[in-house]
Amino acid sequence: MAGQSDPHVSLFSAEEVEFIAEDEMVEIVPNMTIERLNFISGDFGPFLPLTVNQVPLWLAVALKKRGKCAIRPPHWMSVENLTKVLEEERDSQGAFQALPFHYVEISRLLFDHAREDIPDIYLVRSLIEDIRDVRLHKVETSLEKFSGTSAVKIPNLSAMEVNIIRPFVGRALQAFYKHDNPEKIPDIDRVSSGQSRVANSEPPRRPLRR
Amino acid sequence: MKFSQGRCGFGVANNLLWLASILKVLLVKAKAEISLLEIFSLEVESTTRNFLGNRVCAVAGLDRRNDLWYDHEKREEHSKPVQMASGAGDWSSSPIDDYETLISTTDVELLKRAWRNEKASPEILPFQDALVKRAKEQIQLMEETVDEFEESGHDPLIVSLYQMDLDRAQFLLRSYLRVRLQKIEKFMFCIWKNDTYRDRLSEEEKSFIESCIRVIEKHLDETVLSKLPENYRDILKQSAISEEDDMVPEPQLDTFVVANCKRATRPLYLDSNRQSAVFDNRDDYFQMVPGDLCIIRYKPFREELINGNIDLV
Repeated sequence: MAGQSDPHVSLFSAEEVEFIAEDEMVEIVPNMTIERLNFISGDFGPFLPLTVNQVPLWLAVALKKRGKCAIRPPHWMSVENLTKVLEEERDSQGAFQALPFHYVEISRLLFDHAREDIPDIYLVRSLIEDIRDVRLHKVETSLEKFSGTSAVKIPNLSAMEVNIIRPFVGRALQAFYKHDNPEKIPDIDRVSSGQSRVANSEPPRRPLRR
Repeated sequence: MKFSQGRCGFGVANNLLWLASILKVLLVKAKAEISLLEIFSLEVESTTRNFLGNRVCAVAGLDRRNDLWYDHEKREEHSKPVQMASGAGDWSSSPIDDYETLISTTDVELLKRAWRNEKASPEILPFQDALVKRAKEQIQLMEETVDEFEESGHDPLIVSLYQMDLDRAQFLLRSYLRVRLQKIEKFMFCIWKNDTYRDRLSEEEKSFIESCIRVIEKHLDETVLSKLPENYRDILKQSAISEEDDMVPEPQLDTFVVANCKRATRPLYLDSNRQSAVFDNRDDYFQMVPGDLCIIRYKPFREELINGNIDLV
């Protein structure tokens, strides 16, 4: 089954999040001539040696794996910028700094496949790991202050972070909502038992309170 | 055949080869373990396709989007102006922007959006008929192109790149159709008796849901229901005294989803008693502006999603 993630564990699997991130554009410098590529997902090239081209990340990685290009790390991945972001991230308690929505996945793919193209890779890598840790910690502490509501703004949260908190936050908010409006939500237990009977592929949903 | 126009430059009169490749596609599809739907919906129709069709369709699709937009506006006029009080006029962009985004967006991008929305929303969304059709045509054309490249001894590097692009598009399309099938299987009775939901299905999905219901009913009847006391034999009701169908699983519209705002939403009045959001609690109305990322309860925002103002992520 074409990589279908189990919708009950998490909405999007890590692979699917990475798949989405692979469409982000990066700059490459090819070392060979490649004719124009007319893909379903758009037209890219023509590629000439030593000229900069914008391509999606998956194409960049594919070319890089075959040694046909060098990937230019994006501007936000410079040591100066990351140091600045990390400092600000530590200073401000409530807010998150602006980073690309897919910064975790992009940096991970580049670390895996284009190590020699990133200057100061060890520094960059540890900076990004620190930023990620600080942000995750911040997410956890703000979750402690959570209360029932119908909408929460989460500015600058990244795709991976959203994916991590989604199952917990979604259920927590739903539980808050259910307790605030007992008449609006039908009893989950009853619905799920009916569900497991009619569509028996469905394991009975765990009741929200526990 | 208009293949000569195609930018991949393959021959004009390959009728036989072309037919053969379609047969092959059919065979492979039938062999592979795929859903009923995909077999149903594999259309082999017009012979005139080219890559440019993509752009033309995108522009053709625009009119529909605009209609939707105007409908939305009309409806807005009828509804109470109370909601418009704060920041009216601000909350959406002009159709021109639609045009701009549409011509600069590929079908793959649109398909990805449809796939993510479908995956994230608890209920079934309108089937993207035109989009799926275009995607299918492009995938089929690309399959032929790749085959041709392989036969003509093209650079294996280029061939593999085209193959990767093809695989990505195919994955999106398959996953989109499968997510819908999963939802249909889960909520088949609910979808079937609700006109709004039923109208959101494609023809193939309708025949799928019909046969699915038939099979499930037959199975449950044979294995369990016929052996129960008379009052408890209904497949939709718990017992004969139930007034409404109370054994039909329905999508849980009060689930929370994560949404990204594309065009400003209407200011929405969410609930009366609790309004405080952790990061943002200015007033009683909640409005998303472009670029906002929010965790929201699905139900109040479902129209915004269908109107394309927000995307689920």
